[in-house]
Amino acid sequence: MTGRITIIISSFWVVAVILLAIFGPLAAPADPFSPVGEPLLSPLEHGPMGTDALGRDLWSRILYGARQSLSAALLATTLTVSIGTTLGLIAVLYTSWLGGIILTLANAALAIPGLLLAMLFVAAMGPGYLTVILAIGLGGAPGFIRLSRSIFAQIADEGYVDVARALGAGKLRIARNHILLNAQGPLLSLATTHFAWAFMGITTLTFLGLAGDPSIPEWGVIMNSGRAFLIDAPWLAVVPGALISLTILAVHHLGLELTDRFRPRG
Amino acid sequence: MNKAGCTFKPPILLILAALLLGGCAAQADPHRKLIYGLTLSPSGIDPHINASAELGIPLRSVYDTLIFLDPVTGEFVPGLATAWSISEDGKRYTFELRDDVVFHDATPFDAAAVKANIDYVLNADHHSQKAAALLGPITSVDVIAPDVVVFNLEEPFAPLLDSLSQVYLGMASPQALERWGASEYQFHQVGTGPYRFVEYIPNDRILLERFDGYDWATEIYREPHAGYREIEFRFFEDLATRAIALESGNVDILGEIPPMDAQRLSSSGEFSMHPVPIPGQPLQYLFNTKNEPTDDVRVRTALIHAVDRQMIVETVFMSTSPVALGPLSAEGFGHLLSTNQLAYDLTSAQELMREAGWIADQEGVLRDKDNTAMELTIIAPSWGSNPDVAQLVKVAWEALGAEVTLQIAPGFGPLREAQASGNYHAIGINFFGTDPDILRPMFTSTGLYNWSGYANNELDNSLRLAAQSSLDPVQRQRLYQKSIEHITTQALVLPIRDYVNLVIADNDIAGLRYSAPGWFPLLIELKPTS
Repeated sequence: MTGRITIIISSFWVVAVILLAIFGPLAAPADPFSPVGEPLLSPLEHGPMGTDALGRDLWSRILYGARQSLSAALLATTLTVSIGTTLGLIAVLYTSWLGGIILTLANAALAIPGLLLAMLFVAAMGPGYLTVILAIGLGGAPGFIRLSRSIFAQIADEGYVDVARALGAGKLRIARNHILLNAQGPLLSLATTHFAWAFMGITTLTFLGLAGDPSIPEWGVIMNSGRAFLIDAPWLAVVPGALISLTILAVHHLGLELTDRFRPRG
Repeated sequence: MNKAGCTFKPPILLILAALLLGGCAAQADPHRKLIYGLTLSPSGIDPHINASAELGIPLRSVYDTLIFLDPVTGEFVPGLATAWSISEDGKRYTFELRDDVVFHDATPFDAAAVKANIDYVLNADHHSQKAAALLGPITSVDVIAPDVVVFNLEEPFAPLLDSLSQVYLGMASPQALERWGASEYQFHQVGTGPYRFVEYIPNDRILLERFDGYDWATEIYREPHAGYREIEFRFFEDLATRAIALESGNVDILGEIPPMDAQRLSSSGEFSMHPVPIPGQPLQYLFNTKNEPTDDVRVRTALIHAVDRQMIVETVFMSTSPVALGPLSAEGFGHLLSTNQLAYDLTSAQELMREAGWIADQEGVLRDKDNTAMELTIIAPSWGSNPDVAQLVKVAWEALGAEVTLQIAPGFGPLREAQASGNYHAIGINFFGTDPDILRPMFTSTGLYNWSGYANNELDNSLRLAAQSSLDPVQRQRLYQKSIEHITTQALVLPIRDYVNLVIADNDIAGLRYSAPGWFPLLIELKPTS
């Protein structure tokens, strides 16, 4: 029962954040880049969330930030899923030397945690928002290759795939009409759980100042700039921090629920 | 300092507390250890080799210099040299030295020691980042007598006396330099100052101990002997942790405190705030004159007019710093301020942009005759308040109609790399110093830090001649005034604020005062109030 409630709350939260990302900027009362008043006004002095250290409206920055953080995580996840699915599929179809190489490389990369891999990438490329997205997209790929490969391998062992193969279907045809089609559900659950990781990764790197430009209204960036005022203006860091945590939790729970649903039965 | 733990009243507890809480007992001891916070962990701390201002905070009191710059009068006063004279051609400086000084390792201080120090600094293998440049066109040092030394110069060099008053040219024991060499000396420093160097553990601490034999205090020191037996320096690099470190008693004195924290702490009654003006260049942005559109002086002038510096100072510094009025701070260089003040004036900015061929379209975006939108890139360093200021400059230029990209460079290395790429229109960089010669590397065509790419014979000449006018202060001042007018008329730099270091000190400490360059405390004068 508690699981059900968690799922309902998580769904509501995710829908709310998505709505915020789509319509938030339209509802924002101020430009998220320009000062609107004195710095560090409290929520009581300047509703609903006060102003940040440069006098910008925090509520407007949070609203724009929803779109910024969510779309960045979405882009990074898309990159990871594209790379992961393609290479995972190739590894299943070409079990000989090519699959071996892909798996060995993915396993080697997995020795380094994804977030660290992403940081190494940013260190090499120099800070920047696009670099952060690319880094998280690439950093998550090795894990995704392995997981998607195991899903594909399971399906490739099914009787109907053997039948298709016996009937003379080519590798591409098997991949498209049988493996990918039947892997949609598990892949979706995998991608959802991964989205939570990507969201955490993006906000972690931007919190560390790796976005390059501290004026970007993004939840990790906003939390970082509020960090220096934890005593005088705690809401500056607490609000974006809470939003990030709740969003990660909610998406993660949804991902787990999807995994349960698409778990092979029988 | 553990204040809360010292309020036990019942006698038995009091005795127990006295026995157990060594920290509390130490607080009443006037000879206890003082903890001074540093805000940056330098890559190396040999002042003859490394360039960080942070290293001078402890080491200014480990070394004496040949001369000192009086922070009150601005005059040079005797240090290890009792008198000095400059030859008529300005190429020969003769120093008479004290004969009663010994280094902390008991080596006597004499003319040969001075020569050994200068040779150590000028040794090309040692790659001195600052001290060698401070010596300018020096060619050799001659030992005339044990207490007379002569510096020979290739050409006159007016900043030399100022250079010799700086910690980077503090006199080190020649025996220690010889014994440890350039790679190890930073861990075994030996000077003649009021404090003795005990140890340096990188990223952890620097420990100094009072040198009880100190008997040759310069006249700028108001105390002949140090008040604290030991001073430990610890690193507090993260801005957000500094106020907490003070409040929790982990540090007694700490600089570069954010204005809001500084105000809160000083109104608590336990701490006092010491705003220390730092002479030199203000927090500023150099315009790149090699890239369009900032190659046009009208565009540069417009970009300066578009920035409300007063608002930036009020927002970021809560008015604890003055608005900068030119390429040199008012502190120390008040006589060199430009008459050409580019005030915040959006109308003039728009007018100048129109003159330069940049017309705002219906959405307010500035476009040239080819309909290309104006794109600007700002590169700002990550330290201090630079990122905050850069964001507000970005907003101001966007309000004028430019599309602005802001890039924060995390450290001096990345800043240099970004600069070397040339892909910027404005870049944040500034140096501190007490001699106006700090303009030369930045604004002469071959200068090491000519990041604006500006090259002009007239400006080159006046800055070079000013550096050579050793014996004619009036001529020197006139040349600097001329240079500063040139720099402001050409709008090469957007000055934002003069630096003020907000230092917070525990009220148990008295006598906190700083040397002329601002960053360096006169540790000898510190003493407990009780």
